[in-house]
Amino acid sequence: MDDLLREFIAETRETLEALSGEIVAWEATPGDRARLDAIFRFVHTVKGSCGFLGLPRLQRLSHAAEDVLADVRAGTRTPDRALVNAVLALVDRIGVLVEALDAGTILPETDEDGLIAALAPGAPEVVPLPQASPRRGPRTVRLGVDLLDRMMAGMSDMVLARNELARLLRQGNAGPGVEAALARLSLSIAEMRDAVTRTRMQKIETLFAGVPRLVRDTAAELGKSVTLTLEGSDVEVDRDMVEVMRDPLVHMVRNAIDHGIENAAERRAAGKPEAGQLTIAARQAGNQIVLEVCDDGRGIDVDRLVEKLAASGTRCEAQLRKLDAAAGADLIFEPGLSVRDVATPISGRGVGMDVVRSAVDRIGGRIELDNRPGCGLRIQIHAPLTLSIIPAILVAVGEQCFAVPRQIVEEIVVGPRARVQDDDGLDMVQVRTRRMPLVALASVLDLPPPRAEPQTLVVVSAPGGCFALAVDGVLDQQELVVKPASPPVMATGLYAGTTLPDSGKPMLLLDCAGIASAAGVRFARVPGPRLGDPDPGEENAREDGPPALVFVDLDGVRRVVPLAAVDRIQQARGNAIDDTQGRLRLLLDGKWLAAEAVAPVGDCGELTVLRLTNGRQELAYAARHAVDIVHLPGTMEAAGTAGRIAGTVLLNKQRVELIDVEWLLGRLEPATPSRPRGGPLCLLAAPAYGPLAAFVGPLLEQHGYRVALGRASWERPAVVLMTEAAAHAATASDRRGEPPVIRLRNLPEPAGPGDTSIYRYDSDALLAAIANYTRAPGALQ
Amino acid sequence: MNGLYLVARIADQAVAIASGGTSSAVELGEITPVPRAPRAVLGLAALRSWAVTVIDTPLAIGLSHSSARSNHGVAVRVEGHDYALLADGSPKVVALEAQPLGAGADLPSAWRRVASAAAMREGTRILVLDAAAILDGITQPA
Repeated sequence: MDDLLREFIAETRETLEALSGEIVAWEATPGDRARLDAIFRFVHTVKGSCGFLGLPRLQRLSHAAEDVLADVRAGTRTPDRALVNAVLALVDRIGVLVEALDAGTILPETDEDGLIAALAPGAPEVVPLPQASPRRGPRTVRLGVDLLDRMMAGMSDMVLARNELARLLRQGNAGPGVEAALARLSLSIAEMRDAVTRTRMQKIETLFAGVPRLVRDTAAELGKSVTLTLEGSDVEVDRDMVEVMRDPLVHMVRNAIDHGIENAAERRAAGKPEAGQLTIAARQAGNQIVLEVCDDGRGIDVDRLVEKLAASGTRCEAQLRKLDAAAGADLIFEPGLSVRDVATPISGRGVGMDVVRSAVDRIGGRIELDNRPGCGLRIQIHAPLTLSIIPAILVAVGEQCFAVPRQIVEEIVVGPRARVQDDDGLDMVQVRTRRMPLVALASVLDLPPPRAEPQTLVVVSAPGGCFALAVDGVLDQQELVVKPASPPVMATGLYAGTTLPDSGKPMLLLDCAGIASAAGVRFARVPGPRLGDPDPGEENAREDGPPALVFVDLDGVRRVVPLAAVDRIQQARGNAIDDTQGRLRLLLDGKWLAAEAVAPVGDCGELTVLRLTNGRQELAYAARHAVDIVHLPGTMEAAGTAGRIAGTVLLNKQRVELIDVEWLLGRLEPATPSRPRGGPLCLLAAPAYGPLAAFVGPLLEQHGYRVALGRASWERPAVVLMTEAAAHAATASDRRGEPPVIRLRNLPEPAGPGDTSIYRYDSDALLAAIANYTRAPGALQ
Repeated sequence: MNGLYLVARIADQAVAIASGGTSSAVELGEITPVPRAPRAVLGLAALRSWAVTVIDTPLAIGLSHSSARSNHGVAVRVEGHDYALLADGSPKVVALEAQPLGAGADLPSAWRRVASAAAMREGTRILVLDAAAILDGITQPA
């Protein structure tokens, strides 16, 4: 069950227990305004949460109660016994429904109308019937934060005592029995410390639990179309931080959809896709969390803000006109501001940004606006981290180890690479299809240069682009409890935090953006697939990508297709499309061609047909009209599954879908049941959340393979990948007649001359081996 | 300003380190260096299940002496971060009656910046140093 829902249930349960008593007490002293207000607040909160969580029945009940109580507060109704009973019955009913929600059962609806009718003045009295229902679901308890803090402090003291004990024992030369006992104690303490630390932690991603629903409902209410992209992080941070960010996020999302994103007609006129783009991302960056809300709407209209403020008399117009663009955009933080004359049901009276800013101030963070009138708005909230649990990769340079956040590592490449120098004399290196800056970690850190040329490159994404970090080797993957580094350490600009891993030796977490800076790396290009900070006013794609055609597809969405695949562009009439037995055909030049249409052609008068070909087969792709010819950027973010869309590329700061022509043409062949769609199947004999799946899985999928995890798959795989340990466990007799196995080892160096295993982080070797097996005759396709 | 202080020696000067919170005498194990950090930052050490920043106190103050070879010091917490300020020899707990330093106190400027008070004990002057002031000196380049 949703975290958000669980919390709502727990909270509502708690409040209900106190509330019945309050209601009865209030009946005795109906003049007790404070009590009445408390009861009112409860139903008001429940009503609000229900709307948010999509619980219409509870919402109806609580709304009815709220109305009645509002009347009592206003003095238009007196709380007689009938009313109090009706309210009690209703509150009880809310409790029963909440329990049912928790247990996953449904109750009949008939009672609720009666309950609501009972609230009307003069209605026959209702006798509230307490109903017991079983509580089920995972047991949770609510704990005060103070108690958790005490636990943490207690843990620290325990560790201190253990260290003291260890020291004394060392001096006294204790026997092996005592040593062993100390070792067990140390292990227990370490585990307890981890457990206690985790009680405070929560993944940043949980901020997003209610967002898709919020976006859908808000967009629907306003008659707009919004596409939401969520980029979260599995970095764990203190729960407080997550809670504080929730409300500001809701405000910003509502504002983006209400004020930012235009309606379909305005967007068409502006040449934007009809669906507005809203991207929300949360990530750890150095010793901060960054929460970003980005839309491609109309941006902040500073002139209108100035008009409003001047009209309301709060600020002097002449002064306001003198503000620069950035300060002008900041005006949205002025309290009580509303650029709408009529409060919409959503953002109402301009409530929002001033409240958001004060919330951010309270946690010691800051909020920044990147306003591009006509193009969109990006809001960034930076909040300081106290503590976080970060999945990290450990790298070795010389005698020392450092940690790199797993989230920013794109891949790890082993083996000698050709280096080139760019115009500024900075080292560059070629990784697969990309050229990127090369940074030797040893030289940035002023460590003695390694004896041999470092063979391991960690490809890291920083704001602005990717670069390759040369290290001596990759050691391990661990989840580390990280504290922000102290100011003298932070002042170097190279480190994001400090941690004490299992080894007991302190370790530094690298700030890769800072390292890139220190190495003199400058990113002048379009950023890579991760959410970066595109430079405003930056020209888009590099000139060295292949040319492609941008077009408006039948569903109004802008897409792009490689120009090399487009044989001709022709016009056709809408009624030239024929749909028989699920197969589309288009009559062109007197010939019937296989056709592809993303949306029903409907009553489109004229169609633009892109005749796509790969030299052997041909397809008529129906679209609305062609737009432009561009050069594709060097990088593409691959789609998760095989299909019509190969992935997305960044064109003019917008993500555009790239058509997968091969896939479309591949479908034209008569389908044989034995031929699976997509690339050959690779079976990863590894648990779904382990490092193998996390690393190797996406790598293979990006290269067109399908990946299955676990011990077996329904479909016979083309190749099986397993760790050395697992490979040893499977005996030789199991392997006869089975698909070929690729063994993955943990260390960069092979064990010996006969070792055919592949280093698990050596993407090139891995892909080559898999390609070898899947192309060989006799391998299943 | 009477109370118990941890008193140690740094560059032949008896000092007590005050941090506004509790401080304790510590003996450090291995120190992991922090590359490219200022000279006064010797590195990180494991203490109380966290990594603390180890400071060469006399260097941080601005003296030419270094306590880097010592593994004794005073652990303090300043603005939410944990530090171990190294001293020569292990600190002892002493009861002192400290007086704020007057404007005309006779002290070299390096000590002046970090000393907030002084106490007399058995004929020696003990300077009470402010941990935050010691740390401030580090972020300015040496």
